[in-house]
Amino acid sequence: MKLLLTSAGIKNPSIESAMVELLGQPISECGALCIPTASYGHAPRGIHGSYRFLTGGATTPMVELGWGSLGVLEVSALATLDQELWVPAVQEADVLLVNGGDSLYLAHHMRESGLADLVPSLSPVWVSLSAGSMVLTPRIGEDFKVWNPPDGGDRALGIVDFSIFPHVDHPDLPENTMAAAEQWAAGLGNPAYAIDDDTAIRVVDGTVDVVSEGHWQQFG
Amino acid sequence: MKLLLTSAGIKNDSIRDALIGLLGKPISECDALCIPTALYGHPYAGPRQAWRCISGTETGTPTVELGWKSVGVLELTALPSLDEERWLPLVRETDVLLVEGGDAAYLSHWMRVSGLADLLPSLNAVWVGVSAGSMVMAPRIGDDFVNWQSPAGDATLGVVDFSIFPHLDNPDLPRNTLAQAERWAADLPGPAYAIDDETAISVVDGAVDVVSEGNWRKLQ
Repeated sequence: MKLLLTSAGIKNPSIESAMVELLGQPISECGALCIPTASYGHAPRGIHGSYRFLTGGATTPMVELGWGSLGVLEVSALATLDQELWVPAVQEADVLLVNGGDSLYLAHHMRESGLADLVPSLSPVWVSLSAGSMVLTPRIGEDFKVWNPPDGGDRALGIVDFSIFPHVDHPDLPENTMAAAEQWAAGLGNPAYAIDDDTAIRVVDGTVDVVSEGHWQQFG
Repeated sequence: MKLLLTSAGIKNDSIRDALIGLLGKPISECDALCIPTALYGHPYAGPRQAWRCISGTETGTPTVELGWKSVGVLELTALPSLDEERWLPLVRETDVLLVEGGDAAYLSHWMRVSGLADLLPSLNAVWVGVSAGSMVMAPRIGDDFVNWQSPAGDATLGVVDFSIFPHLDNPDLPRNTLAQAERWAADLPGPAYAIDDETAISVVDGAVDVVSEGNWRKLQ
């Protein structure tokens, strides 16, 4: 399993190089499946956000990079479909492009559909932004909760063992300071990273490293 | 609610003029929501077709690419896990719903489960259906068109009192002949229309009108 967990997509050449290296082939030869589902957790904004993401019109570059082919993997639809309608498409893809929005909403539908169980053994690279990155962590922390899951907690999928505070020092998000991230991390009980929009966390077979043209900090 | 039930979207000027008439204002002044849900349920559609339809690059069934003022994605499978106030006001305000094709029984199921089916009579939006997005309004689709196994069998929403056989004489669908449509209609209790890809059925306050630059037939 290869993961490239970004805050805001493929924002700079360092992150793009890291992604191409994980893909092992040019972007133009890769089949991509886009996962918009987290967007809907932040409806009504996310209803238009999903369209911008899928059409490459968001401020978080991902779908518009020149993929060989593109498809939509709608995670909320999967639980009511026969697995043969979607599992082969996932296994044949080179990359999953996972939009942001609400990470617990995405985690819920990934569990319900069985996609969460497939992720650790997947061959496509998981390239995600914001909530699409946070969904793989053990927990997101109460600060980031919007959608309330059935179990009421802040537990995500725990496929990696650290939590992520994205968009640190983003000018439109004045609460996302490094001091706030430090406080957030202190309440988690597991390691964490705070990353800005020019930073990504790369995970290959359990080995974690950070790719950045901006700033980030590791906690715990 | 006003309906424009097409076989393959806004394929010609007559259908486009009918659409503008139903909207009551130019396309560029209308807010649109695309409903892709049926695409995920049908083996002939799937992830790539879903991306082409949502991104407005599926030239076979023009809907999203017509130049709407805004476009959002209303994913019905996502709605039951959201509070209604996150999506209902937007649906009430929208000018048009662009309902993509795929599996009509799957779409019908999610129309009911999401609660959108119950809201239809109170909505101002024009419903523009493509293929299964049109068939879903019928009382039944007929066994020939059943793929996804619905608890409701071939029963769909019954918003109109006729059934629809789309893609008549489409060269890519050699079984969609008029003879086949007549056999299909003979098994249905109510009236039916067979329409080709250049034809649409408009329904306004119960008045049914066929708009066509191609072929169609009313079948009893």
